[in-house]
Amino acid sequence: MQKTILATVQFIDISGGFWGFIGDDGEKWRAFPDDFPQELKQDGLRVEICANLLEDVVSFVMWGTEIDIISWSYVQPSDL
Amino acid sequence: MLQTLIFLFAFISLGAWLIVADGSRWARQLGLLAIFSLLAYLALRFFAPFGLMRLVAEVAIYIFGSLFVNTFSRSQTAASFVLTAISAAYLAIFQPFIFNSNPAAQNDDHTKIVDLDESAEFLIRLKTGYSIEDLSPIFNQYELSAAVAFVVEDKKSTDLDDFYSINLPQSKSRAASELLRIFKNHIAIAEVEYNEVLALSPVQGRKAEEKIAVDNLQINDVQIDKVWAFAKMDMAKFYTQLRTMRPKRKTRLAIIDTGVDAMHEDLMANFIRTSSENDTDPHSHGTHCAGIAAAVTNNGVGIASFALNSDWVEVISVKVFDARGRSSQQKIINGMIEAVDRGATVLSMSLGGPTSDEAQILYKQAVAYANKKGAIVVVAAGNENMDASQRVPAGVDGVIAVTALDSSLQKANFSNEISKLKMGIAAAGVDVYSTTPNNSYAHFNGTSMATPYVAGLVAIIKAIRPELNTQQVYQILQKTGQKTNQSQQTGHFIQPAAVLQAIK
Repeated sequence: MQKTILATVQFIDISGGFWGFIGDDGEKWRAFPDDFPQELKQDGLRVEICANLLEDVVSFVMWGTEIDIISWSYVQPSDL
Repeated sequence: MLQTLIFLFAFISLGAWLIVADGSRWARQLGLLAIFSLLAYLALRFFAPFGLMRLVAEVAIYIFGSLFVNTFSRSQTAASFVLTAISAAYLAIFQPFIFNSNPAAQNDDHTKIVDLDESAEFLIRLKTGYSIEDLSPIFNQYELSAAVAFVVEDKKSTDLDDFYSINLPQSKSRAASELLRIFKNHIAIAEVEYNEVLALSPVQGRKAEEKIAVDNLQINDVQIDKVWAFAKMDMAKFYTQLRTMRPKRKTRLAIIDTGVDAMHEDLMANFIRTSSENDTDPHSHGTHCAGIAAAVTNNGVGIASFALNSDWVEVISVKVFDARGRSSQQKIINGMIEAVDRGATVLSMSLGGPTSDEAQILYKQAVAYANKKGAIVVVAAGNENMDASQRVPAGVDGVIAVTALDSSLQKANFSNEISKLKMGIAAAGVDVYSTTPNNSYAHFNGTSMATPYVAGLVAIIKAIRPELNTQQVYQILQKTGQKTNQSQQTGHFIQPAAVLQAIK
């Protein structure tokens, strides 16, 4: 299922640490590490992500729902 | 599909002949049709065998169905109704063979499927009496191949050897969701699920500055002052008691994870090498867990563990994640089986994901297999600050699920809670200092880290009392554990010295 997510980027300090997204609705999302855009690795960054949900994936970090990012864009304060 | 249509044709033509058996030319043609279609069905059965159970069922329908139609043959309307009803019932039973003939037309599910293991996209279990040949029409249509999914040494102890992994060729990968639906509706299949790819996130160490007083431990591991959990678990008292005890049997503990760096200075003496694949760790996670469970104590370097010397615990690694950090349900279940078949009696599993009925069934069988072999399965509760019963393997009956506490013995803000689980317990899971590959060390957070603490203590219990089962060991952990402010959510915090007091 595709979904558009408005979220804030956050470094999650679990199992050594990884980058995740906290959705505006409080939902947690994470991308496979190799696929996480380098440009987004910045705490507090506001983004809009279009992604496929990989809801049943299991991981060692055991945090959030895995997503496969299709596209993303920065969200400027004026967009809010 | 063809066999279903031919059988139906044979049966209906026989029924129709019985209904209009008046010696007319039309009736004679129907009779010939019935004979030829029956011969065609038998020929198909000969050249493309499709399972004894199905043959028996269809022969029974053919004989008894036609006899039943014949009893109503005085009334053509009643007999036609009976013939139609039996045919419809047959179709309902074998409908996957008919309606799956054009699965692409049915695919209204555009959800991207979870990443699947490219060599085996599905796991299925056949019902008793059916064979893999019963699926040959589907196999032919989708160019599938099958292999036994789980290699089990003791087949009497589990049904896992009834599972097959099904490989869908890359060219047909778009048909995965259709195939899942077909398998779910298939009469020969008891269980089916995607063989999901599991993902591992990279780990990076984080340094914590806090040091603890460790004077009374009487060990020489130079970095033990970075392990806050030792003070909270009163490890000085634990070591004092353990020095007066002897193990009945050395426990073999399996780290089912990303592999373990077998050459690490603080693991090597307690580590049993199994294969070069298992004994390297490109991700650090497994090596970190191994150090928590069974780092070499009193060796002048690094940290320590419950295993005071080499008499108590030996560690093996079962790698279930590949170089990219990917795995599958099948690989993890196989990892559990491999660990048990290699003699491990404690399994430490710092992994998890969303639950499903199918995953529950698989894990439950794997846990039952482990339990039957005398092994205890210890798993992470998960890191989403939610109900752990919604996660596997934490929510599976028969496992001990572990929550994470911080150094104030508060539930870690990320830790899942175990209030709905039968066997939940708590251990240190914040700023946990342990081994990482290449003789290095780092602090990690997570229920992943709390899990090997419990597994390591369970290994000591099993060394002293090898006969204890999971429930008995859990009762000891829970009764001797320290209450926390949120014990309902976390379970009790393990207290190793009290455990020794209880089992000596």
